Amino acid sequence: MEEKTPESLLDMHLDYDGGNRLRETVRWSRFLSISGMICLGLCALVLVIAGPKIIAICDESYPGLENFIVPILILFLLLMSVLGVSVFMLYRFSIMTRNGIERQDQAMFNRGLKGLKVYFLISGVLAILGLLFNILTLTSLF
Amino acid sequence: MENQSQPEVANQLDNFFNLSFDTDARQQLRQIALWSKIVSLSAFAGYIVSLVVAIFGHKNYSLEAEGFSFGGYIRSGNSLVSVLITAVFGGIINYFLYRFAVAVDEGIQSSDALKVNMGFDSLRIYFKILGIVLVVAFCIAILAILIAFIMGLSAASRG
Repeated sequence: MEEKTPESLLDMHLDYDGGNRLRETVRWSRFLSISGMICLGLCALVLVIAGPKIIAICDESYPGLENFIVPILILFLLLMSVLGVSVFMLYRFSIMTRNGIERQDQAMFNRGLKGLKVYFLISGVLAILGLLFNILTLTSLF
Repeated sequence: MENQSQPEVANQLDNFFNLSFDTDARQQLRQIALWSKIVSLSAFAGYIVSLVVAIFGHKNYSLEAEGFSFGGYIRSGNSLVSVLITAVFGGIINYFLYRFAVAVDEGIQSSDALKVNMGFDSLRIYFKILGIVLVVAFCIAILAILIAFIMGLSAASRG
């Protein structure tokens, strides 16, 4: 068990400077998460309203695409849901951390950090996949 | 003497929230630092790969005639410029994310709250730049939609 000396109690506390920085971080992350949710909603709306027309135009440009429409649609929906979870986690981080700081609630503050962790985890997996896709493009070049 | 030191300690404690980076928070922060480092490094590598692809071009035309077949690699000036701009802006944004990851990691390892707080400052700048870029992108998108709408209306009135 960790011994709580006065030094260790003061060691890793959130000071006012850090708290204020974190507050502003949370403000911007909330803006980003809400904007992300709106963008995802708009994408879903476009897909529902103009989906058949987009498929028809793509089919005209690339004949034989109709065989791949279902996998492309599933991949798109999967990506949308993953992005949705990621954006929701960012929103959770912003709300929980702000409430944690305002109410001085350690458990809520930690839950907020967990939201940020999941957000970066999803971003990391997507970034690695994006990098692999980029490298694939590079290898097809030579 | 004791009475004099008491207000000092009280003042010191007044400068702190009643929040600490406890074991759970440290664990979360360690994971956050790891994954944000992965995100930033993947982004840097991605920009380098994109630049290589843009500089060396891509096979976008191929001619076949009387048994001869040849293709050409075109270096598209426009795509190179756009990739360069993306790489520069993305590099700056991800630099702050990398700084956040490094500062938090070092802060947690050395139990230095000041470094962790400095890390949060980098995260603040990262989110701030992303937010500003998002606002600019929204404005450009709305402008493009308006221009397309006006052009469509004028074309319809002429037709």
